[in-house]
Amino acid sequence: MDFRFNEEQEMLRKAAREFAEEVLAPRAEEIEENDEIPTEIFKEMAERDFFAVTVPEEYGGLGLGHVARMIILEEISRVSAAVAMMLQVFHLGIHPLITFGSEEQKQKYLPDLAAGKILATVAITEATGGSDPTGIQTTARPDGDGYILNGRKVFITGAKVADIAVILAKMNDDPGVFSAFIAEKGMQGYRSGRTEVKMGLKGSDTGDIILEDCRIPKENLLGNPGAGLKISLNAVGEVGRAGMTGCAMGLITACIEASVSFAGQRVLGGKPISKLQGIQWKLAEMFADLEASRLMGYRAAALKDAGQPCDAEFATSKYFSCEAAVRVAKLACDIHGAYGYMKEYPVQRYLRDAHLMIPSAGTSDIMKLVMARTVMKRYAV
Amino acid sequence: MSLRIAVLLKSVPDPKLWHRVTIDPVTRTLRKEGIPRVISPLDRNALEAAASLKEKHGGEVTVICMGSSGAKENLREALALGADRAVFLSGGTFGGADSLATARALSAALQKLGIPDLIFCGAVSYYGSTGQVGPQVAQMLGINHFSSARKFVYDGNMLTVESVTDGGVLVARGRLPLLLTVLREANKPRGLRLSETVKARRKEILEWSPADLPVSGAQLGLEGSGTRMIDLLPPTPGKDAEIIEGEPEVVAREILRKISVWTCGTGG
Repeated sequence: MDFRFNEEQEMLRKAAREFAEEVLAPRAEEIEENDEIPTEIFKEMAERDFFAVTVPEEYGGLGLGHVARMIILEEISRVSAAVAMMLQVFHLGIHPLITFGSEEQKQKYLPDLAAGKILATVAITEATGGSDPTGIQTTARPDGDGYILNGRKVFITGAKVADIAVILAKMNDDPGVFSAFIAEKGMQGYRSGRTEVKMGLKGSDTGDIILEDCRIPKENLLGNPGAGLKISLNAVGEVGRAGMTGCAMGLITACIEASVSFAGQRVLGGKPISKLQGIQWKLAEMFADLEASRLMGYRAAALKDAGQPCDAEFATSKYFSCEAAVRVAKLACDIHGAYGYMKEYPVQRYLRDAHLMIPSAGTSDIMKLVMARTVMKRYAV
Repeated sequence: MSLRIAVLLKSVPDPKLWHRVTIDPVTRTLRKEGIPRVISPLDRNALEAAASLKEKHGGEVTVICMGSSGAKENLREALALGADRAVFLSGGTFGGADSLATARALSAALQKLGIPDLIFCGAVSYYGSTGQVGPQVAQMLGINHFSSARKFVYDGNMLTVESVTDGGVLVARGRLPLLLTVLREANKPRGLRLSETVKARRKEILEWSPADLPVSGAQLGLEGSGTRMIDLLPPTPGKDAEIIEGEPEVVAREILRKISVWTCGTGG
């Protein structure tokens, strides 16, 4: 097995790192303070083709696959987990169109999505259904040659900035049946609602999408009628979880870099604290968490690129890497001592950012259910 | 008019990580292992100048680099930043070259390719920083050059250049072929785009050894160098230097206090 990245992948990493260090890093604190990502950042990401990574070439994308996507998210998250989160959700919104879209839908939306001219999101979660999407209350009623949607989606990343949203709704005429629809900003009855004020991932826009008698034309039904749950779970399962893994890996790297730097400079008893075994043990644990997260994440992404089943692998990598992100961020704060609590040092931001990674794209508890199903099947005697 | 443009590129240890470079106490050479290599920053400006001109006037950009094997990835990067093909001079007796021997190798490569209309390079490399290679190459090729250009305009016939000198800014015009060494102010280099990194995979990198060049091996590398490095020393504090040690915050405060005393005569 060759675990090395090839030359092309290293070049992608270089491109992403260059953007992260030269364009994003000078503005990371501004994003944190203003709780807003400047539109120039999205424009730069579009110019560098970050939205085109998984879009097939025939629709204006690069068709580079999910290992490539994960590399880019990892590098960006190392500098700003908030921007990485937004990018990962834009990819998440694009994915159902690639996988389940009709030719007309692909031609209509994918070229502009690949170019970053329009942004996408996925709107599944509601107050009554997140971990269990069948608990949602948003309804779709057939009406003439379209559908009328009513409901409120919550905790949607990109709620304000997204131009299109893939909406999961249950059919009014049969509540056990769920369908997916492509809604556009500007459609009558579609609007973004309140924006959440979060503890971390400042700048990433998280809020409500409200549908009030929102008319969706029939050509905007995504996939087959009744395929809504399958479409949603596929997107979240294979692209959402992968994205969160990428974000977690980058944040863990940032924690380690900050900790090594601080421990090398902080002098106690006449020597830097990096000489102390207690600190070295913490750094070792952080390193082990990073290595394991990267191995799991890139392996799952490689399976997806090869067209192999990867549901359980992404559940495992998402669970492990996001829990590790919180664990490692706390260790980073511990290494910094009281300095770790001060806004002057970035590790407190890393800890606040890491926490949202656990419930995003499926909580750790839900990931364990997915993993348990696989375990009981794969290891049955 | 379609232009044939060459860019002379140097691969250097990432300047952002120079603090990790150490001097081997026995061999008196720089220890740079583990430090990633990048295109020398001002050569990025040179590449941007070339790529922008090509996009406006048509033509082709060839980038030429002499270096060890690690430099090849920087050439692939250059192909993603506007260059159409690359020539990599590596191996054999190229090693140990000073600026003179380097200029000979690059000139020979340019002669083999056919002297282009324009040659760009950074005003200095973020390594040896002599600033000599560009002008030496121009002299060897028998073409004019302008150094330290902060601005230039090509009108389809002549190049008007603003060169920064010790005494001021020289504004001059020159006919092609010309060599220009450029400063950071010349332009803002483009960033790497994923689509260009994909296209760069398919672009050609020619690899030439000393035997491939129309120049004697004795003129290249260490043997062809006009200078020899005798020793490499870190700067040592002067006899009146004061070393302040301690926590970074404490050191910073003390430095500020001292500067305040020197400049204002007060404790700060």
